[in-house]
Amino acid sequence: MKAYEQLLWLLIFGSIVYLLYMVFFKKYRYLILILGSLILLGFASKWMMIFVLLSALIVYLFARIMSQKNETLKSKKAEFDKETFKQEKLKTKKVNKRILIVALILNLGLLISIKYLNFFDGILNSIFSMCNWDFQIPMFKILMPLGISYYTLSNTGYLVDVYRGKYKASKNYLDVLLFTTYFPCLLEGPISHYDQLLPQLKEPQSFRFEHLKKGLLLILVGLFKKIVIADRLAILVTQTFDKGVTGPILILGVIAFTFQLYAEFSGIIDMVRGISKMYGIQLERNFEQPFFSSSVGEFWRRWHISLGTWFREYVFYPLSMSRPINWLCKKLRGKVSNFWETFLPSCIVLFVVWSLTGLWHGASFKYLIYGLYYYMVMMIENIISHYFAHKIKHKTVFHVLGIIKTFILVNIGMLLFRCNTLTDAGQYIMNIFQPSSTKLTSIFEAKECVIAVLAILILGVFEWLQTKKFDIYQRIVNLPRGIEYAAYLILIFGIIIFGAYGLGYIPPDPIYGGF
Amino acid sequence: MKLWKRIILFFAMFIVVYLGVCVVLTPKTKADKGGDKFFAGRGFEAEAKNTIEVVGIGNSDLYSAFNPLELYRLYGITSYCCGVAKASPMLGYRLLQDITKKQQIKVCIVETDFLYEKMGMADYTQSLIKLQFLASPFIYHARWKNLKWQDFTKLPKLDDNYDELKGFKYSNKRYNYQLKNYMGSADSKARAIPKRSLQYLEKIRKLCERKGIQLLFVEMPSPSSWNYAKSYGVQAYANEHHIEFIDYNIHPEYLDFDFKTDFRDKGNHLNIYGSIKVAKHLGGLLEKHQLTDHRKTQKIWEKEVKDYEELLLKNHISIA
Repeated sequence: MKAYEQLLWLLIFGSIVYLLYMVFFKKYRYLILILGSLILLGFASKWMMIFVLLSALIVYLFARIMSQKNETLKSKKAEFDKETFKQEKLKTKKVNKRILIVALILNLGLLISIKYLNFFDGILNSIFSMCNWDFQIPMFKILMPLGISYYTLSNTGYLVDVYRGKYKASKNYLDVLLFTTYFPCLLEGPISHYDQLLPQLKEPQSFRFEHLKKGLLLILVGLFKKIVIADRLAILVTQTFDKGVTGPILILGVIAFTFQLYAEFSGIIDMVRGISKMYGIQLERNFEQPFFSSSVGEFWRRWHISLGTWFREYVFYPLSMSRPINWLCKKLRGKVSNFWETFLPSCIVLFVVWSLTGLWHGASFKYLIYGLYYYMVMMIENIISHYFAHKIKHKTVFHVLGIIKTFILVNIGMLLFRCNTLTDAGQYIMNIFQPSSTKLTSIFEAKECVIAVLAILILGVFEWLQTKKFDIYQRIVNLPRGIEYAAYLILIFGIIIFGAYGLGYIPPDPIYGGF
Repeated sequence: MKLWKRIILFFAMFIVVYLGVCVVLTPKTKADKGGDKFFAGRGFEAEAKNTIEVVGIGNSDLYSAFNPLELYRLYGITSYCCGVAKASPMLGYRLLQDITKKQQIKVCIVETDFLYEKMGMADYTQSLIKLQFLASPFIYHARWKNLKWQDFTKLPKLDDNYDELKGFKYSNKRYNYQLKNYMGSADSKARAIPKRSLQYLEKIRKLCERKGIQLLFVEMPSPSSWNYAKSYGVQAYANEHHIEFIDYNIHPEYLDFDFKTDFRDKGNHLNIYGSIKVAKHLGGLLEKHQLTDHRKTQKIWEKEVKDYEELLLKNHISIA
């Protein structure tokens, strides 16, 4: 099926699920969401659906066992004296830790075996050929279940939270299934927290015109970003990255890719949030105007926020509290300045975090380097900021310069992300300094270029207003009726007419969809 | 304002703007961007009433191989080629319905390759011209780059869509196709015609039955898409309904077909040389359907054939 036929099909499917949800018995409305999500997965592949059902069952059972152990301990609290209770608590924690490890191996193991099997195969095969062993492990063709990287991380968060006793595990398998399969999030996330999302999913939401309007507005904004900006820029990006073009025009290609990626990913997230908003479900934000960041660290706090939050909560904090890091902290105490005392241990922990962040994006060395590139930049930024930040007098000028610097550094990262291999990235940089092989207008029509620039400018103003805490969505909804509707119509027809789809356009595959 | 009034107001505004956009974006002539697609296969609308006796329906394989002017030049048969790129049987059926409203068709040639084409959403819009007009903001929106003043003032006129070559796509490009066994094993099992295609093929057959039109199945040489399994699938249907089926892939000798010179691309579409060979053989087959020899009687056709012959001579193609 063609990409836009898929999108249209999804919109029709989403509307049917929405209508059924709103007319179904209030108490059981969540069942419509589960059914809708399973049908969607089933359409993609019936094996995929079975896989997700099993995956949710594993998470449910292990979380339930851990929770039950905690509850049993609590119920027996009165029977024990203080010391015995402490010992019993430690014992339970130890058992639960083992259960958690098994659960994580199964849960993450599924993701790793599906996503990274060929990556490890490749490494082993390279070792075999280096040792002149005439043996090669065959590469596997594995169908990736829709949204596996997103729901696996969400489920892992749920398991860890139950282990930590943050909340009790659900007694109902359907709750975990609902949380795992909630269909809008299967596309490209965001990675959700069980305690924030599930109560909203279980709550029988009633039809509210305000919710519908705001949701549709968000969907339209998302479509504008995806179809008008991202898919249009894809024309230039494909030409510069895949067609052997040389010259300074390649710099434009990288910038175009950075905007394409942002417009596409944040556009789809806007659509996901819009669909949820229609039901009255508030999802966590995944982007907060990242291009207005004055450092790479800040950029990553505003870009793919749910992934950053997940790594902070479930990798960074546990590692920071681990024995080796505590030992290092003790060793450093008093021997180095306060800055280095916290910086050096976090340096080690962040190395792991950013290696994993890189590998989450894809199973190849390229993505590992992509993650470590940002790690290096952030570490250098921290050191520079520690020694020089207090000496800066013109804060505004420095802030603007910081935004420009961040944009350049992010573009280098995006170059690594877009090229197929590191060698390609090196070649791409070399090609920038070669004589121009073509004119911009011969690979990207002038009229297309004008629309792309105008659309990016509109998006830029839209984002800038949001940095000033100007709620543009609310303002549009509050406009006088005629003007409000005219605004919707401009947006709708802007997308229909200026969208880069159909006759004369080749639909690009979603960049973040494969994760 | 009450909710339902607000909804009505919004949809009223939407419909007015939408219809305006439909008018502006629909291609007005065949020469406009997207015009080829909009008017595809529908050039017969501009033909005089009751002047066509044979019609061909199919996809791009048909419009590359079925050459009405050559058929007229050699046999005096007046025909029209309703081939549309990636067409499905549904579109073929709609075109046949429309052409039979104005013309008394005696023979309908079905190029069977399209029976195995997958049907997409585009087929639904393209098969109904009114639906195509209403879907024009989605199909022809890229015309914003090429809009002219007349796009804001005119509506598309189907009878302005005259095609001198009667739906045939002329190409004198030659692709040196290296012949290999593209048909697979002669022992292959028949591949049944897909359900959806079969449904529309039945409609085509019944329409022809009602209107007294003879059906003829033809498969043009097509190494990129054809094989024995498909051929046997079509043959089974043809046998069941007593329809003549000529597969030029099994019998290229009927055409004296040369795989090295008669394609314009990688074994997918025929060029003018291939189409002349097809016309020679097909005309012979059609003669038994008691068609009238219109030579010297159809003034417009005579003029078109003269221009066509000049075109051939210009490209050093013999018209003997």
